[in-house]
Amino acid sequence: LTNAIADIGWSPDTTLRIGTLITYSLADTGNPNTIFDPKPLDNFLTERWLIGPHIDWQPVEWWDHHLIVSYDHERQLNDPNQDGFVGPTRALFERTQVDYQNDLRPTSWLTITSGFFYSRLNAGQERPFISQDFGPQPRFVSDHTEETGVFAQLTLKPIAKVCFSLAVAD
Amino acid sequence: MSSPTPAPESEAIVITGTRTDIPLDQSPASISVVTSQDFEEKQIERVADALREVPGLSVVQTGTAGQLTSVFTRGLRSEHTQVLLDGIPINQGLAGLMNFADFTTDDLDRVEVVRGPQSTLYGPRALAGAIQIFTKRGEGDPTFTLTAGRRILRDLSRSIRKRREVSISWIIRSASAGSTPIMRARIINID
Repeated sequence: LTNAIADIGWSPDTTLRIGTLITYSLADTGNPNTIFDPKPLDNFLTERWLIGPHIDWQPVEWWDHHLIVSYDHERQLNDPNQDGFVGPTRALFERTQVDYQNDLRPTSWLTITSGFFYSRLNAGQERPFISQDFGPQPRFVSDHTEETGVFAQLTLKPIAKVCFSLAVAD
Repeated sequence: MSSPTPAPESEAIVITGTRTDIPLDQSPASISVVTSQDFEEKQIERVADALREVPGLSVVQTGTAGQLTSVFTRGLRSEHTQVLLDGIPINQGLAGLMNFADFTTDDLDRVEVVRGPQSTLYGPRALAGAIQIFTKRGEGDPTFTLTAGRRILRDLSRSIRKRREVSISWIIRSASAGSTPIMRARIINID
């Protein structure tokens, strides 16, 4: 397992922060045949990286904006057999997401939060195949999903230690 | 294993319950927080191990470290828990499952767990709850830290566990007025 994570940001002044989140992960797991032979069989390899630029902006004390755009890419390789006849299954996932949120605080006891969300995920998989010149050959299947949403929320704190929160989304 | 360290209610601020900063004792949702202090004091290396301490969660690991590790909130399916990293949803695949096996606690500040439906704020996958993981943000005076090492653990069953770790963590804060570049990174390798 190899992991790396970094959050790099820059604030030109107290109202603005521009940054990006970067992650990378590589995991290669398997079941060893014996404790004396640690070479894994039944391999499952997952490699993933993500980049997520974001902007936090507070032009005035009572108004915040948060925008995150992210892209992540994940590939998986499942190789249950090493007999040379049945190949591995490969899968690939690519996802793009946008998340925006703004918070209005007109009074000390009221916060109005609203925003939207968008996500698109492309997925593809190459089925296990027989290593031969004839007969079944590798097949690649793919699909994608899209999500969009908007939301709004009222948070009221009329008295100390009491909080009402009402949210709607579509 | 003991429960997460209770933070002083008057000081703890959580975000995940309402998407805004709010004191933990005023949050309308049921929230638990596991902090980096818990990671250090209890030598927690993986997020899944941190989540084992949280009430309402079941963590299931199918084998040794590195094998599929799923989290179930309040008994619902694994894909019904939305997992976010600094506000970015990171559930995997078309189904939205999340494998915590590869997630270490390095450079993480805290983990907030919200139990109960959060779909209004986080989408349809947050049916059972939401887990938000926050990375550390650079702050304070300029510091530079570099640690590197290698550790091998061997137990009586003759299985060998090797750990190599290179940790680079630096925070740079410019002395010029208004300019604050901040960077923090950590790399870990576990065999």
